[in-house]
Amino acid sequence: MKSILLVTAVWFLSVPPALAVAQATTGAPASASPAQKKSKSQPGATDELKSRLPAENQDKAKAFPKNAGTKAKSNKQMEEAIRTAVGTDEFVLQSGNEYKLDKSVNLTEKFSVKDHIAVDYQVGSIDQKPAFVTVLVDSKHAPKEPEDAEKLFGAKLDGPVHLTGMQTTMSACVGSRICVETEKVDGQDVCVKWKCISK
Amino acid sequence: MKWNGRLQMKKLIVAALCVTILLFIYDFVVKEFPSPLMMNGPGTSQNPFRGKLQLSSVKYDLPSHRIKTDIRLELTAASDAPIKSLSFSPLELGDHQGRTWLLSAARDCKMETFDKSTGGGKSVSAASFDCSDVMLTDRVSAKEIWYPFDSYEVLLFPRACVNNSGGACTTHDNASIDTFEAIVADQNFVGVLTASESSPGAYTLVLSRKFFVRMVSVIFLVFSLIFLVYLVAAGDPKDLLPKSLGFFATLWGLRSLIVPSSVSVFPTIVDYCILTIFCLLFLLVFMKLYPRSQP
Repeated sequence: MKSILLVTAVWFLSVPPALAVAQATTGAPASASPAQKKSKSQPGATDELKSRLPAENQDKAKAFPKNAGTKAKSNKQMEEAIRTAVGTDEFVLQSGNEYKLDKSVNLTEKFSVKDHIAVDYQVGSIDQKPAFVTVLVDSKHAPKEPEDAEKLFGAKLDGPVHLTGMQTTMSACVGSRICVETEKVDGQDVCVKWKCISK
Repeated sequence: MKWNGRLQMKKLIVAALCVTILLFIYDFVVKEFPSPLMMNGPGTSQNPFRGKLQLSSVKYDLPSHRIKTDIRLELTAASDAPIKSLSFSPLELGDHQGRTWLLSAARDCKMETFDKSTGGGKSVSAASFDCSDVMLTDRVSAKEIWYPFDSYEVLLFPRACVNNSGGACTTHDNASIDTFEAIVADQNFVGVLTASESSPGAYTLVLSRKFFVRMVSVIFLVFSLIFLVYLVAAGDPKDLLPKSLGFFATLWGLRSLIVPSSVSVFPTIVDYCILTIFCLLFLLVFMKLYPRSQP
């Protein structure tokens, strides 16, 4: 009995919520089948589950990336790294019209230099001038849409920040973000600068 | 024999003056009234938005050492679907083919939308997009030293898209430019516009100094060299020094005629030539006043 409860708990934790909802709507059995009683580490556990679903839900399952959890985690890491950098590093005024963090945020140790690209992302405004953070990202997975950029880098940041020799307050972006600069990577336009706009 | 040589010299001088006059006429008739710089786009795409791009005031900005212009983009839709936003980039910069985008959403430029009537009483959506003082080159030029033989080139590769909520055109350009026109506003320059053969939709715009200034510079240089030879060969050694100083003053006067006050760069190739002639003159004067045989 204990082992059944343990396996059920493991199954609930391992199956993504979307699949659980799909299963509930298609009337799939709530209790664990013998096939589902395999541990998470065993290969084909989710594949076998998918084979039991109707065709449309199988498509949904295919569309749902297996590493969604990892991606969300890395997004969270990136957002956290940016938040930490904004709080600790110094902003420097560049060309008299925008602030930029003096160090770039780099979570791309696993990529080679040619794989990553520097993306300037506006985190907020200091003295009504845009404040940017340079983030090194994998060029193949650089955000293309404003929503993707906000998911990866974080949407709103405000609070105390450091300027050279003083402390000030950064105000958060109020509107949405748009891409203002691009670069060609493998023939594709990749956005390298995201700016806030007030609508 | 001597008389024959003088006659030949006379003929040579007359021929040179005639050629100079003919060059002045050629410059006035042909070079001072250039044809408008206009090109047609590739015209192969079936984009729903098409239009005309005009660089209305192209000039070389000396303080920033870059080419600057006002831009006007007029786009017309194939249907009455409204034009809400416009993204435009005139050129690629750097090795990474980077682009800075001018966006109506960011209020970089002034966008006005209106309805345009077509034949048959139908109206379609249209928009004008005006940007002023756009820098067309990112690198600071250091070519002024070659004045008046300096020229400035920019490779234009305009791209535009309409109603793109994300800003820059990263996925698909749904607008194409059918006509491209450039108007050179700087009276000191003439422009040459050519379509790039390697990449369709790209144009090369070259700004170079007027033919007149270049021609006059060469004529003055030739005349100065002839006068230098004459002064040293036929001049009286007694008053050679004051004459040389007068010649130097004349050269400096010619410099102010060729190099306008707007060209603040010093030295230019004109200054190098003048100073070289001046040094040559004094070397020859020195050699004539103090020949080797004198103790």
